[in-house]
Amino acid sequence: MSGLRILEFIKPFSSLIPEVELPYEKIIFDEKIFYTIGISAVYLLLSLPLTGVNPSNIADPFYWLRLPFASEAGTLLEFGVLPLVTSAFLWQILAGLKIIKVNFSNIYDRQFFQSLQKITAILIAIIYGSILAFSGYFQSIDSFVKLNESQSTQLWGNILIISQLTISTGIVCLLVELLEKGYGFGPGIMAFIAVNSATKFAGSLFGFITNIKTSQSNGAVIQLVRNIFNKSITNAIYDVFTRDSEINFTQIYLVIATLALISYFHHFRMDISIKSSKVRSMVSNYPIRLFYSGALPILFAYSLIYNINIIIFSLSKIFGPIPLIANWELNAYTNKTYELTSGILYFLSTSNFGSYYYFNIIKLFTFTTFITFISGIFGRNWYAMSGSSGKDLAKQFKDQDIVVIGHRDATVAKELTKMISSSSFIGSLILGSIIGFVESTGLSKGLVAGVVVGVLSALSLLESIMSEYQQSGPANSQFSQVFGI
Amino acid sequence: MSSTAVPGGAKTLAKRKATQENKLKQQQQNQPNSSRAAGAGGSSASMLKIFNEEAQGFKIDPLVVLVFAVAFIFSVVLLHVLAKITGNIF
Repeated sequence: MSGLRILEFIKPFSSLIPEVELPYEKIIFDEKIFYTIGISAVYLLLSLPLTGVNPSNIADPFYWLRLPFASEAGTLLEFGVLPLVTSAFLWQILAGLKIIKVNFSNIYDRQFFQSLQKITAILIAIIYGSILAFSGYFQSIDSFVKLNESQSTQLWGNILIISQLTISTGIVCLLVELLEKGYGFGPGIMAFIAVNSATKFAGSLFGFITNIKTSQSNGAVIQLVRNIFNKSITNAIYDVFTRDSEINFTQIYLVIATLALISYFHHFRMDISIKSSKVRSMVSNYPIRLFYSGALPILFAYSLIYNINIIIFSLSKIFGPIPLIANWELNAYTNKTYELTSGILYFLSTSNFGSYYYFNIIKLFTFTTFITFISGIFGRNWYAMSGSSGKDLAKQFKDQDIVVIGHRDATVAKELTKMISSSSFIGSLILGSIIGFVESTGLSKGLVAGVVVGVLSALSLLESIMSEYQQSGPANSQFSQVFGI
Repeated sequence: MSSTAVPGGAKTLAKRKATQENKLKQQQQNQPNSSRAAGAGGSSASMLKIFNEEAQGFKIDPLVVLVFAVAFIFSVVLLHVLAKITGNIF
């Protein structure tokens, strides 16, 4: 019996953790939609500047990693859903590889496993919050503003920041829990990512807010209109395609092109013909998509990079630079970002500020390879760890009295495994290489990865919403007009 | 006649042990390694889902969570206002 009984450590704390009640009765469809919208709105409201931090004055080294995790620099959503994603992946993978021992058929073990994930998420927020705070990340970069501060006020300021980050991560946990326990739709993490990237993308097109420092509108289209009135037409268009401080049209066209490609691949699937063994009915199709793992391979690869970046960045600021691993330099033009210039982490980044010219070319290959490799490995293993392998699917079919046409009961699992393992692996490789390549050029600055993760999350969310809608019956919903039929 | 053959199964003790070990091993391998595999919901291939059980801990109503979240947001806003008024809180 190998494996660590990590759950034993959690038991004493488990009664202290706030836990959302399961609904007494099934929440009706319309109410679920309102809950989902309301909870997403509360999540977006959390992107409020931290007290003691001026978000427009801090330099952000992680700007190209933020969008897939719905995080925002210097706000209560400094980490977004990253702590949750990290702890969910970490423990599920450890349990899936049987490194820690969890007996999932036992309800108590499942409960403790869930509490473990929640506690880990908050611990991650505390740890990252403190190392970032003490590395001086939250201080204004125009440092002469706050020189008269004493040591102890800085300590209290840091503690205030850490506690705000901790509480806000706890709230994000609870909001996710609300959505997942049947009050709203689908996995809360995916819902928040989808809502946030939709908001960001719409804002980057039509955002009216003007950045005071650069006097540029958030939205690229709005900026184009403004430019046309102010500049000559060539200058106006050139500026919108190349501006650095906000999202520019180059990024937007990259997003549109990548989305077109991704949605083309998203339709690749193999249909298995199934029918009920009890009721004489017509044959229906069960699709196995090429992107069997959805957006998760990218999310996993990015969460890996994001975590490493946070840790190394703050350690290098606290204990002095580690030139071999990573080297950050303030972007001298905008003063808004730290850019990786050399070190191992540079080659796993999208930064275009390499200290030598040929670094930028090597980085194209290393970043693409890294993302492809990680998402490939993930796609190879995740379906088995998450209980979606051929064996589990076959069991599910058997429980629902569904037979796969053309196969005996005994061979169904084997046949499904064959399809699922290859489609999941190849799909993840394709997804990883597309995103990796587009991002490695450094032109998109995380927008492509974020929007693609958001769209794929939204699609898997939509699937669960539609199946719920069809089960509850269109007549019971006020939204039947919206969804049609 | 103490060594009468036990009916059923392999004859020798070594083989009996081997079959038993194999059986245990198989059982362990067939143990579900995720809550979805155990049939209780949770992360699937394309979704990352954490919360599907009602674990122990103090129970809170969903509305309380929303009110708490909004209250927290307002308290942070209040801190901002205070910081603006007094110049610097700490």
